[in-house]
Order: sequence, then structure tokens, then C-alpha cells
Amino acid sequence: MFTQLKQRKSPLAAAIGLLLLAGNVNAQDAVPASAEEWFKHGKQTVKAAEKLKHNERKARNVILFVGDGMGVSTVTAARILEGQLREADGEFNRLSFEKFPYMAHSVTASANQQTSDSAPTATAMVAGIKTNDGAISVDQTINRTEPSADVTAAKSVKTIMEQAEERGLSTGVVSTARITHATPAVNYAHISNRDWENNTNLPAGATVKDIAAQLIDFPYGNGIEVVLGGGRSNFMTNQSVDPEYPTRKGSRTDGRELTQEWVSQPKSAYVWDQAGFDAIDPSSTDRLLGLFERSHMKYEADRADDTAGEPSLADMTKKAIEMLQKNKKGYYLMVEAGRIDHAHHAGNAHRALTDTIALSEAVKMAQEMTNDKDTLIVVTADHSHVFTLAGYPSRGNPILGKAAINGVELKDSLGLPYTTLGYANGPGFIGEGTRKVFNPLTEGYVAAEYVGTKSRPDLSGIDTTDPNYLQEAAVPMGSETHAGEDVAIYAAGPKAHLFHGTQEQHVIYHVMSQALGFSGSHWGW
Amino acid sequence: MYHIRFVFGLAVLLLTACAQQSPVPPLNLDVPLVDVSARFVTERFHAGDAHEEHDGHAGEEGTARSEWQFWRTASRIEMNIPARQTGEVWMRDGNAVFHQKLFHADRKIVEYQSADLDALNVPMQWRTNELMIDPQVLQQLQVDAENWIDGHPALELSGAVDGIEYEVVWLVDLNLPQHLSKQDADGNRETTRLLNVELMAQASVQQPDSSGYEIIDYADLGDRERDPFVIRIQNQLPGGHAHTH
Repeated sequence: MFTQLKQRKSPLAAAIGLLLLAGNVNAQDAVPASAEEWFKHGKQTVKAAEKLKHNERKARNVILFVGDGMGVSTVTAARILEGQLREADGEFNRLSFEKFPYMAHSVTASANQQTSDSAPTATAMVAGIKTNDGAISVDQTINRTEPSADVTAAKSVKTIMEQAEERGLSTGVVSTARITHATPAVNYAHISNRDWENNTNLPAGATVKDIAAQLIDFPYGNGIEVVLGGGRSNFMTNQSVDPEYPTRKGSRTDGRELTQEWVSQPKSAYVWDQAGFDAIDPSSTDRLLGLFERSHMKYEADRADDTAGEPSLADMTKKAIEMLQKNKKGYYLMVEAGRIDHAHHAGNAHRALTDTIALSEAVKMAQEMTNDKDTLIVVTADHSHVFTLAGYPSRGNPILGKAAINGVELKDSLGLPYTTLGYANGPGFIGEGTRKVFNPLTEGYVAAEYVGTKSRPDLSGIDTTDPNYLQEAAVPMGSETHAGEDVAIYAAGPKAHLFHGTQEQHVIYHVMSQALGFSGSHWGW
Repeated sequence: MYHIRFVFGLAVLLLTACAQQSPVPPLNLDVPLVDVSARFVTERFHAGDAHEEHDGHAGEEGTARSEWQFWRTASRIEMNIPARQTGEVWMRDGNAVFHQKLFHADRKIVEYQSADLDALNVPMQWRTNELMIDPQVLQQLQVDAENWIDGHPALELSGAVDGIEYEVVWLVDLNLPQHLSKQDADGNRETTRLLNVELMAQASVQQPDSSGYEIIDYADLGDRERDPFVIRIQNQLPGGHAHTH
């Protein structure tokens, strides 16, 4: 499968390519306004596809972007929102990675789950196997709460990051979630329970190291070069005052100040705010640890409100590539937009979509800084969410608004307006008297008052484009859930064409590994 | 009736004795609040309505009573309900506000960041939380009487705001209610009475020590779908549901 042709090139090649394809690009970007133009557009798309040539080169670099929870419906809605924010045609708009030449479906079921969590799905992507719920780069035979370091080691599967370090490549991991969260953790940690992020999470008597400690003690090659994300408290002791929030302290009780251990290595730096991040000179810094929040970093929609300032996902991607590209042998980098998932769990489409757009910006940054002749870029999701676009709104109808045709709101069978975006379950409005509201004085949670007498809330007077609006959900749940349908894989660069059709999620690892020329397996075959 | 157990120094006692002879000062919410430790009892009378649910019991009429503790400083407001072994904390750190729900029996905390609260439409009304009433509502009430209660100047206020009838006895020096009653048009009534108040520095009851509790980020609840604790407490959290149909 493929989408519109747009490959990364050197500046000169890009300029030539633009000249050659000028007519095509113009046609691709302009929204067809007649039957003839639509037909012409379709034909030109096929013509461009015919020019696609498989890149059989070996990749020097691999960048894996993961939109946590970024199902296809999320990509579609974000594409429309991004276009509408630019006052362009949202439906015809494409996010940066949607312009990649190759695509496939990724089957996300884990070894023991029909609908999976992030731990086994991320493990599949970086270790090449399917495993069970909660498992971080360990195989499916491990007990979910295995405390033994020896047993865990025996059931661990070597990741692409570890193999890259063994071969002298540089490595990095970037996330807007805690850097010890499941998706980034699968690169460098091996543990049976994704929740064991600091030593206080471990069961009594456990000998396996917590995830934060495993990051600092990473034993392969010369260690991870770039680590940027949230989760500062997991790296600080409970005696250390947080630099951004002086009333708060770290989480660790084992006395290990992991940030200090990091900077004890030569040419290493630790930063926790925007100013410190901006001050880092990649040419003189070999190892960078940036932890910008106690827990997860801010949603993109709230980032400007942060006390100490936080870099965007694109900023972090840029800095990571600047550091990693110093190694002429190449690098492996994972970049996760970790909070798309969290916003969906909260039933809040606005933050999920704006974080998806932030991921698109990060991918665009990576494209601009690399060459598709030697760099494979893969963009995918670990799993989907029960998020949908519904009704028959007109083209151009505000994606966060109520479904309407030419501005006239559509009505449900009760005669009430409804939003285009919604969830199958979650904390959004569901029906009369069922949503709890917060009452701090009494510890009680009382039924929300709905305007109107119908069994759905009347949204006539509600601004559903408000960033804090929670889209309605059919099944009431405190937290919206993941979904089990396939997600998409978008790829460009060496071996990108190996993504095709409907593939199991762990194939992503095998394409990346193939592209880098890694041979053999953890098991010796 | 409540009992006040201040252990003031001689200077404070003299000031109080003098103050008892003085007129009650007007309501002034624009001053730094006194750090206090207090105990309240809240009674909620639900008038009953066949079409409503309340705490999971649709249409039942009756009174629920709970005693709870309250600690207030400039940067932290904490409430604790001993009978339920749960509590709530609001923390202010610069521009950031954190909210925590404490589950003492489980030694776990669910923590909300500002954006989580925004998305859940949980109002971050610090002033309302520390005063226990919306200050704008309080200032709209009519002063019916002035009093001295156990050495504290007090105002008796009443009135209706947004369809809610209020009766308040306000301790002006502490900026804390001694009595707070609200009743809506359906007859649902909530009455909170002060049982005991102390200055924080002399508090005889300390906040529960939650420093060793596991903190679970609210954003992570969705990824803990198999965690028995999360499954059990999900519906007690903001944004949860009490659906019983």
C-alpha cells in the first residue's frame, strides 16, 4: 500500500525533485473542485505511485515514532483538525507521516490479549516477539509479577536498542510520557510488570531492578546517549526536593540519585527545564538526560502553561537527532507521543488530537534533518482507542463541533444534536443522572444535573470545541479503553517497502532489524 | 455543640479578652488565612426522587452523616474521612496545582495534574476549598446578626444564590464556617457543623502520614485495567459514574 509520493531528499535532490514534480505537487495540494479535477487527481496519484522505487539500501539510522493510542480514527480526526486550524481543507489535508510512500496494517493483539496494553505491543515493535499484558521485553512464559532478577534475565529478549549499542551505534529514547512508562521502557528494560517504575513499586524481596534503575545501569555498548521525557520523581530519592515543585520530593527509597549517577559519566548532562534544554550544545555533550516533569510531561495543549517550560516533541526530536548523528556508524531512536493515549483515556478528544498534531510536527522535523537514502523512519501506534467519527457532517464542518450539514445541526432520534467525535466508552456524558461530579466538601460524588428532560444531554448550548469538553460515551467507564482493531504503519526510507498488507505488530522489529543489517536472533538462529 | 481548645499564649488571651468587648469586624476575605486544623460533621438529607440516583441508590429518601477532618495552610488543603479511610489533598506549588485522592487502607494515592482536572471539568477553586464556600456566594449573603462564639467574632448570614438557600455562621477571625447549611428547591439539604478547631501549630490531630504511599498518576488509570485496586476505586473518582440502570 502507499499514499502520496513524497520522499526525503538532500537539499539539491529535493530542489530538483520539486521542479520535476511541480505540476504534480500542485495538483496534489489543491482540493479538486469538479469531477474532472477529482479524476485528474486520482490519475496523478497513481502516476506518482508508479515512480516509486524500493529502497534496498542498508539503513544507517532508524527512527521509530510511536503515537501511543493513535488509531486510524485519531489520525483522520487530527488530519482534519490540523487542516482546519490552518483554515485549509481538513479532509484533503495530510499529516506529515501520511505522505510517506508505504503503509501497512498492524495487528495489535498480544500473546494473551485481544485488545492490548502498551507493554506487549511496544515489546513487539522493539524485540520482535509477542508477549503478555504488562510485560516489558520479556517473553510470554514469565509470571506477571516475577520478582527474580535471574528468572527475568532468562526470559528477557534482546531489543533493537541493545543490539544497536552492541554494534557501536548511538541510541536514544524520547517520550512525552514518563520515560519509565511502558513504551519507552521496552527499549532498555526487562521486567515482568510495567508498573515497577521505581524501587518502591517492587514487591518485598524482589531482586529484579526497577525500570528507572535499569535505564541508568544499561549495560550495552557505551550506554544510551539521549533520554528525554517525563518521570523525574522515579530518578530522585524521597529526600530530594523537586527542582520545579519545591513542595514535592522524589520517589526512591534506596538512596540512589539516578540523575547524579547519570552526570557522573564524562560529557554527560542532566536538564529539567526549557532553559537547561536550550543551553545544551550537542557538539560538546555526548549523553543527555532530560526529565521535564515529575510524572508525564504536559499535553501539547497545556505546554505553554508549564512553570519551568518544556520542549515540544519536535524540539526534543531535533535535539536527539543532533546528538545522535554525530556517530557516523548511525543510530536508533524511538520517539513516543505518549499522551495521545492519556487524553483518550480521559475522553478528551481535543488533547488527543493536538498531541497527534505535535507528533506530526516531530516527524516532519526528523524528515527535514535526515535523508531517506540512509534513514528508515517508521510511524505507527501501539494500539487504538474506542474513538469514532460519526454522523454525516458536511465537508469542512468543525471536527470538534456538532455534526451539521451546511451549518444546520443534525439530530438524533430524540431530537438532540450530537458531536462528530465520540467514544464507545469512557467518562464522557452518557445519560441522565449518570455522570458524577466532584464535591470536595463532602467526599461525595453526586449526579450531574442535565439541562433538558431527555436521556441524553442537550448540547444545543454547549461549546463542544472547548478544549476541556469530554465527548459523549455510550458505556460509562471511569477511563475510556483501548480498542482492538488494527493500527497503521507508515514508513519511508530503506526497506520501508517491506511493510505491506496486514502484518503482525512484531514484524515492525524485523523490518527495522533487516534495514540495519542486524542478523541472527536472541536464540542464536 | 463544638468545643474549642486553643492553647494560646498570654498575649493572645489578653487580645481575645479585649476583643470580646469589641464590635464584630466585617467580613474580610482579602487577608491571609489562618492555618487551622478542624473537625466537621456533615449531614446530607436527600428528599428523594424516583428519577434521580444518589450515591448509587435511586430515589431513596434519608440522611447521611459523616465526620471529617480538615487541615488548611497556604499551600495545602487536606480533608480526611476516618470512617471511610479516604481523604483528599489540594496542593499549590507556584502556578501548579495538584489534587490527590488518598486511600489510606491501600496506602495508595491517585494524583491529578492541572490538565486532568481541566479535562474532567473539576474546578480548581482554591479559595472555595480553603473557605469551604464560594467567596462570591458568601459575600452575597445578608448579615442577620453579629455574635461572639467562644472568643471568636461571628457573623450570621443567610440568603439565596442561584436557587440555593444558605444559612451560615462565619467565624470572622478564622475565616471558617461554624455552621454552613444549603438547601435546594427539591428539599435536598446539606448541613456542615464545626466540631473542633485549633491553630495548625497546636493541632492535636495530625494529617495522616501518606509520604510512603504509592502515587498513581490519574492518566495511568486507563493502563491499569487489570489492577484490582484501580478496578475497585474507579467509580469513586472524578469523571467516574454511578450508573445503576
